Amino acid sequence: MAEVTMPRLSDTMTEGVIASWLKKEGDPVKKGDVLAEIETDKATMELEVYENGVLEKILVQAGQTVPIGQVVAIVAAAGGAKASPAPATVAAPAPVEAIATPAPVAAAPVQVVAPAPVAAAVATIQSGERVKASPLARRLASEYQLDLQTIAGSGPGGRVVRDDVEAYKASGNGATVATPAPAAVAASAPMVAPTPVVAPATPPVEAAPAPTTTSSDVEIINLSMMQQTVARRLTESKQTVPHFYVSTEVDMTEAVKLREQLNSKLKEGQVKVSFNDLVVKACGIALEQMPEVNTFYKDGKFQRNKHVNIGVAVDVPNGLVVPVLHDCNQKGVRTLAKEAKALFEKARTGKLRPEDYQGGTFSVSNLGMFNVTHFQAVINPPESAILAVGAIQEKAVVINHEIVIRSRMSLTLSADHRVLYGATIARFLGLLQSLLENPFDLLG
Amino acid sequence: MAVTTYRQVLNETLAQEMTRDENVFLMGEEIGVFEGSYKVTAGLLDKFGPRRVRDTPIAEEGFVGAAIGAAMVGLRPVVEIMTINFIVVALDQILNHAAKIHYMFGGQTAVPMVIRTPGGGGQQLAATHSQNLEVWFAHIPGLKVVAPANPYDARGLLRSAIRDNDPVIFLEHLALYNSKGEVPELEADNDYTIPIGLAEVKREGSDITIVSYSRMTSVALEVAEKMQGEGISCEVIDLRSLRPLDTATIINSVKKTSRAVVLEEDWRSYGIGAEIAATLQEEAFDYLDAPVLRVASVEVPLPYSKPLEVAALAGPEQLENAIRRTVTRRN
Repeated sequence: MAEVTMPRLSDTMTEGVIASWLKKEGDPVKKGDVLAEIETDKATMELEVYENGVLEKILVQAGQTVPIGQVVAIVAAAGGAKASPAPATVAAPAPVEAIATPAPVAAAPVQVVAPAPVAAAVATIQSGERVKASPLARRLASEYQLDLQTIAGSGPGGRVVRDDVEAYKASGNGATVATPAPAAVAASAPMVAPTPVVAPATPPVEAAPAPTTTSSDVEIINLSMMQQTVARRLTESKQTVPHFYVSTEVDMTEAVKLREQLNSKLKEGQVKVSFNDLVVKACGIALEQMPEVNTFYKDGKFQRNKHVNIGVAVDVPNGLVVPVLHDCNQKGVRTLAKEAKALFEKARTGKLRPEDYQGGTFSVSNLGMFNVTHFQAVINPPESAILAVGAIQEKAVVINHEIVIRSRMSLTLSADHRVLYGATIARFLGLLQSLLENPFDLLG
Repeated sequence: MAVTTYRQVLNETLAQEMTRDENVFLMGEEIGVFEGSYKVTAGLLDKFGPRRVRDTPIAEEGFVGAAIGAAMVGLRPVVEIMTINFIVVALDQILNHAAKIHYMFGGQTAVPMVIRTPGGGGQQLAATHSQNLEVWFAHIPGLKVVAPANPYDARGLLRSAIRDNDPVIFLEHLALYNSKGEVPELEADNDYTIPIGLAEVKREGSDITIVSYSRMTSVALEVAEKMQGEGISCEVIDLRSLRPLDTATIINSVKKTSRAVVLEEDWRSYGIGAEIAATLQEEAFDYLDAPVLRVASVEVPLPYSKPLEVAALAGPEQLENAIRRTVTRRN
């Protein structure tokens, strides 16, 4: 059972008055229900209950003043269990980042009000977090080949139950759906703008029919496990990592030509190389040459990573995953292209395994396929940098005092200022630029 | 078919069995001259005489021991323990002798004995006279334990118990004696028996399985009816037999509904529900959409005071709450 205590509702609050109880002893209560109104030094606020159960006992009557932390009521938790599970938290271990977009670009995808706070436990990249789901739900999800992390749970404590899985399946999510040309890794339209720059592959965004409560003005939707993890990790990232951003514009004219050649005559077993593959390879080489960018800030020390593992952000229904390509410095572009394609396919169909999204040391996020000119991404903890890639656009630029038309692409690197400094990043970007503008250097 | 009381059915069945088989005889406190503290054996002394209907001293260990001896030499005693609370005095005889003699004597003799005894509370008989100890016996290899919930099952199970060659604990309930139910006319009922070890689906449903026995079965059925009005379809399984337990019927039901609640009058810890919940998670794990809840009486010695007694005993309200917690709906 759970003790409901007087919460600290403002930073100056030391005690509160129970203005009125909105539930009586013996009333069943659901997560998110308002138990009572509390008067603080500033305003009257609501006291919410965080688990399902029954309001067993009211210990403090209306009108009484109690200090912060004092127990005011007892809720007998759902299921007869003596301890109620903390809401949510168990979710994808994916190192995940939001596609943060500054002014020029459209706002980020819709996220909805979380009904309960997510517990504070910080997950490391290496530890997998379980999705809370009933055995039946697990079995069905496995049979239907759905990723449990993308399904919002309506059961107690956010548990995914059979109805949730069935509804998710019925809405058509999880299936691979044909996307407009640029989406696929193998996209290969000619370089005439808008050039399809590959990745975050986007299946049509059809929100899973998460359980909702509706009034005339708002609709409250529960978060899937993955969404909860994204929310938590990125908040942590922005709150703890001092971000700074450095941008440059790369001339991709030569890279476009190289890619065309690479894809002109594909052999058996080879897949088309995308621009993103070229960017990933460039990052792989650059990270090997500048290991300080392949370094984490951890527990007050620098942790230099021996492998160059680059995560690529992929948009999936109800979430965002960053599958990781390992040892990008050692693999050729064709190998990377093949592996990337396989990973994105798994991501789209909800079949990623924990080992697919663990172990990253650097991330790349590409919104070029949406014609985004440039943006700033949020660093994926515990990494210390992430590269945001914009669209390749034909532009008029001045070269040797002449105006010429070239293919240009913006790169913006977000970096952790505890580990990396402006000059380092500028040099890193310079390396990327030089590799991409002389793309044969990517081949060996 | 006739509507009869549970008590009446027991009385008729005992008489019928004693007529059918001259080795069947009765022993117990107050069963003869006084006609039984709950009048189950009314008229039987007159009908069958003192050799077949034996009043005993208040000495459970002694007369259960005597019954065991009688059973070993070929008689078929049906012993009444006034309430299950007193069975504890005879526990050594039941546990260490009745249950084990067949095994330890290498099958040379059986113990075809029935112990009839009512359990349960709700009559303000207070802590030492209101217990539900049947689970203790359900735990013991060598014994059988049955618990009919209505007159029809009582007749069929009593016949099976008396005709069974193993020691059978026949669990009745004080609150059931006056309960009524339909039974076939005695002379024309085909001498039906109900196999020991077979549960029955008393009400079909699709959203949740409620498992119960004895008095709790009628509580479960009432609640199921009420839940129907709320759009929750409950399947009610009446165990009828605690040992052996009909796990197949329970599992098949849960495979259909994916949710289960056990309603038991005994205490929750280490009780009947614990066995059923463990069995379900073991054998129907992938079918469970929610944890198996157990609704049982509060773990206190049962109070005498009526409001406290009502609060402490498992009842319809607790069952309803458990059902609502288990059948969560996407709204």
